[in-house]
Amino acid sequence: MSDATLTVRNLATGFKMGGRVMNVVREVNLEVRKGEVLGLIGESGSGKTVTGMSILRLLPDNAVTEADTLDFLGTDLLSLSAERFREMRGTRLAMVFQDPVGAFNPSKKISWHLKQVFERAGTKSPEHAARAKNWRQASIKLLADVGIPHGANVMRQYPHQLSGGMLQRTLIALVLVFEPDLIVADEPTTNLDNIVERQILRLFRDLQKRLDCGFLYVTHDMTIAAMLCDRIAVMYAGSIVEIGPTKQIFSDPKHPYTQGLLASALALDTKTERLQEIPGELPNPGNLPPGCLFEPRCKFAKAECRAKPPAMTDVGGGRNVRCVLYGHG
Amino acid sequence: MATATTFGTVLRELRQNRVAAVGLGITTFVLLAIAIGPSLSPYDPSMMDFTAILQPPSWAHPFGTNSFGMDVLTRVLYGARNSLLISIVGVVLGGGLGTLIGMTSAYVGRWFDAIAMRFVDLVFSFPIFVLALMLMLVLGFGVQNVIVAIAIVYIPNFARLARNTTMIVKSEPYVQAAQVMGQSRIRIMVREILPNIAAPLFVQFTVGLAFAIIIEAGLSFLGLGVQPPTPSLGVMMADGKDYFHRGPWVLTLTGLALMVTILGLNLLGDGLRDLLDPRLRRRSAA
Amino acid sequence: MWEEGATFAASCMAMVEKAAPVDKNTPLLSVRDLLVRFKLRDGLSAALSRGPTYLKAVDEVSFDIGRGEVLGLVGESGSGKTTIGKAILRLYEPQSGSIVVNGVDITRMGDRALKRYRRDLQMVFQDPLSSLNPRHTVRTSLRTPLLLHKICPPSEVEKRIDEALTRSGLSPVFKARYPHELSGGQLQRVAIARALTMSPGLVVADEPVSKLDVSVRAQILNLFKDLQTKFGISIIFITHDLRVARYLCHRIGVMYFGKLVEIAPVEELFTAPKHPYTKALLGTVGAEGESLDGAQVAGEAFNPAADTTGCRYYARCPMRVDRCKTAHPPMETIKSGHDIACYEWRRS
Repeated sequence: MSDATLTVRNLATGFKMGGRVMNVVREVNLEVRKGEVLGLIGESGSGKTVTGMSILRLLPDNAVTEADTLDFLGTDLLSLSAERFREMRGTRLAMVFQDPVGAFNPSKKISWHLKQVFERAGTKSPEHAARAKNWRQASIKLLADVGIPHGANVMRQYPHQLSGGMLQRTLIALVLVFEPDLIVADEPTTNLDNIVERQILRLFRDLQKRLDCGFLYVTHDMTIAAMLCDRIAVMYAGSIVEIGPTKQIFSDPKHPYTQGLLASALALDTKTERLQEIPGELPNPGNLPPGCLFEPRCKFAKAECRAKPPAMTDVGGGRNVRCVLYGHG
Repeated sequence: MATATTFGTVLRELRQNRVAAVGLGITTFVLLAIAIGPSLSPYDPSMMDFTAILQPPSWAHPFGTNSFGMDVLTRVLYGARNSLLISIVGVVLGGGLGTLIGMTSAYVGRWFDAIAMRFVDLVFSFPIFVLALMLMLVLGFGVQNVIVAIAIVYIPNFARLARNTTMIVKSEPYVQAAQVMGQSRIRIMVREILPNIAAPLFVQFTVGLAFAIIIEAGLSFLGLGVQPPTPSLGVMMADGKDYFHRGPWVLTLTGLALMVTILGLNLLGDGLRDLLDPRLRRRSAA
Repeated sequence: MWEEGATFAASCMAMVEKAAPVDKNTPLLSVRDLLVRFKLRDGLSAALSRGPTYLKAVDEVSFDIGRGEVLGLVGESGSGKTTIGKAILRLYEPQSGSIVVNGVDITRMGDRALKRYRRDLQMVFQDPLSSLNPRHTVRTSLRTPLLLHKICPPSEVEKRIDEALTRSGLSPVFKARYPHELSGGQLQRVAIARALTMSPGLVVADEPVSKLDVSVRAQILNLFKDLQTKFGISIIFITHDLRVARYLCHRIGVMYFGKLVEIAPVEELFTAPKHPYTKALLGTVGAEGESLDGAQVAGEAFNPAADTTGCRYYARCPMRVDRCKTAHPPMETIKSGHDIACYEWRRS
């Protein structure tokens, strides 16, 4: 599609361990369109974080990433040199992590961090260069944009003097200096309390609307996904099992795993007598079932599910499901 | 986590760590030699043979003979056995006491911790060998006192280590679970904490043993420890030094045996330490 | 299957008889004005600093829990909910206040005297892996409490362990395994089995599902629910997730920076919350919480290391008045079973 900011085709990532490669992510197909929030949903161990890190090339040296296509606004991310990639990451391709504390130099004030980023941005275009000269005013305006009204005070402080919510806001402000085309966020609200989490989510949504950029949001939390995302991709044991518009997936989940997950997570929103369980546990990545990865826990499992992994099937309405219940694609 | 490493995994990884494997090989060889060697030897370690005084190494006497015509190899085997026994008893004693003090310090805390740790600091401020020497002068000469001196010298090392590791382990939920269950403090220390700090203590024991052998040899060399004619590596080196010019093999080969023993223990200890070091472990796991 | 239930029920009965002199109407546990504080600064830095020397992790909290009742303690990290749980189990020493179990004050009891009350109070921890000794097999972990409290003759220990595991939904083959060989869900089942071997009257469950995979959570929540209804245990369920609390609890206490701000029966709390903080929390969950629009809470959180007086929720509160700044409002009963600490609740 022409409005795709990021296109991923057949992405697979593994880790070299003692001579052999352990595959943790396989056959990932997704695209993040301009002005859209795509949620990447999964439990721990589902491969959602590895997928995000593979796209951003942030995995350790023993990781092996392969893909048919990894296209970001016409640039092939796979063939990009390490140096060019670094340049792109943090400018047009931004990221926000779970732990904002680690992103700051603890011995430098907030103003120093902002100045650094503005100076770096200043080398990109004359317009940015003008802002870099006036970085103090620009910073205060930017901090106000992310919900910090007294930016001048905050700039005089050290990272440890700010609360987790304030740090995450400041980090978002740093990201925004470049007005990126794609933001990848990995559980950016996990360490925050409920109320602050809500504030940050709203901030994300407002900024994303204003910048009209693509946004890949990695989370395990169905409720957050429901609030923030236009489309979601559900991952299980390293593959996407279902992808489609959020509203449709929540009102009519197709894949048995999505159904179970929604039943056990969202049933809590109302007074419930008994939660529906998904039996069993996640498969061990070193010992995956031969066919469908969800087959051992699936109540609809039949013989053909054990034979070979099912392919993605287009079920219409922009939705794809990896399950034999919906044809063989 | 270092404290949760089982001996089984350590042994498995030991084979992959070249340094530790060599150390383990040498140590096993030394232990076998002093365990079986003496019974294979045709000589008695204290048997004097004035027909064969100061003979250079030969097939009959691979390490030669000393000024009394005693077989040096037989004496080295018996001597190493004595040295090792004295050192093991000393380090076990010191290690046990130190561990007890360290664990109590960490687990009970308050005044006990304050007093115990000041004592540890005090003992730590002396160079180890000087301390051992001073203790011998205070306690008097003899094998028993060598053991006591080694034990006292080693209390602080083990107390520190046991205290630090206990501090980490005692806040683990499984220790709290044991408390909630109603287990007594002593039971918690012995059954819940000790097994989880045993591995680093064992490393300390291995490394400590090597230096304890040096202390024993040093003290006996100076005539403060084991008394001749009972063989010990220190006694034999002191003896060999007196007629080094006429029979250099006595001092040299005894010293070599001492060196090999210590080298083996040190390599083993270093290897074990590497295996248990959480920073190194994390790197290999990433 | 029902046989093991019967033996367990019998031991529960024995326990009820043991506590026979206690009136059935007195609460199982009464916590009064509980204060737990941690030292923030020492020596010189305490003398030089203007801030308080101590952090009040739990600040004069009072509540009761009845027999067979599930009380949820809900709050964010740092609200003191875990500290309360651990103080009740005497893992932390309270500064003042009292903890009364079955009419007996255990607040200042020594280890030896405490031992016979330990059986009655058990805990399930947040991280199941570290709550089991890595060097002990599942069998050893489960055998210890049985032998320690002489719960059954040694000849029956193995049978009891099998029963306990089966009750938690695990096969007895797990007895021989070590903790690192089990998954998170299985470990939490073992931890629950261990707590229940002592037939406790009260179990403190500290975020028992927050470290588990989402798809396994429902299994463990249902296990709690089943065991609670089957054996009539009281549970203090500590969680940051109001939705989980709603599923399991009869009553919910909401905590904010060491203070209990509101406590009410679960449906009343969800349908008619009174404290502005509870309202804000509820705004972040539930059916209305599905969208990001609607009223938003502004302001920064209370700083426990700097502020000492006034309502903890002052900075964020939309209903604050002057006196909220000078004193924290006391707990008052607005309706049977519904207590709240807010001067201005009538305005809401």
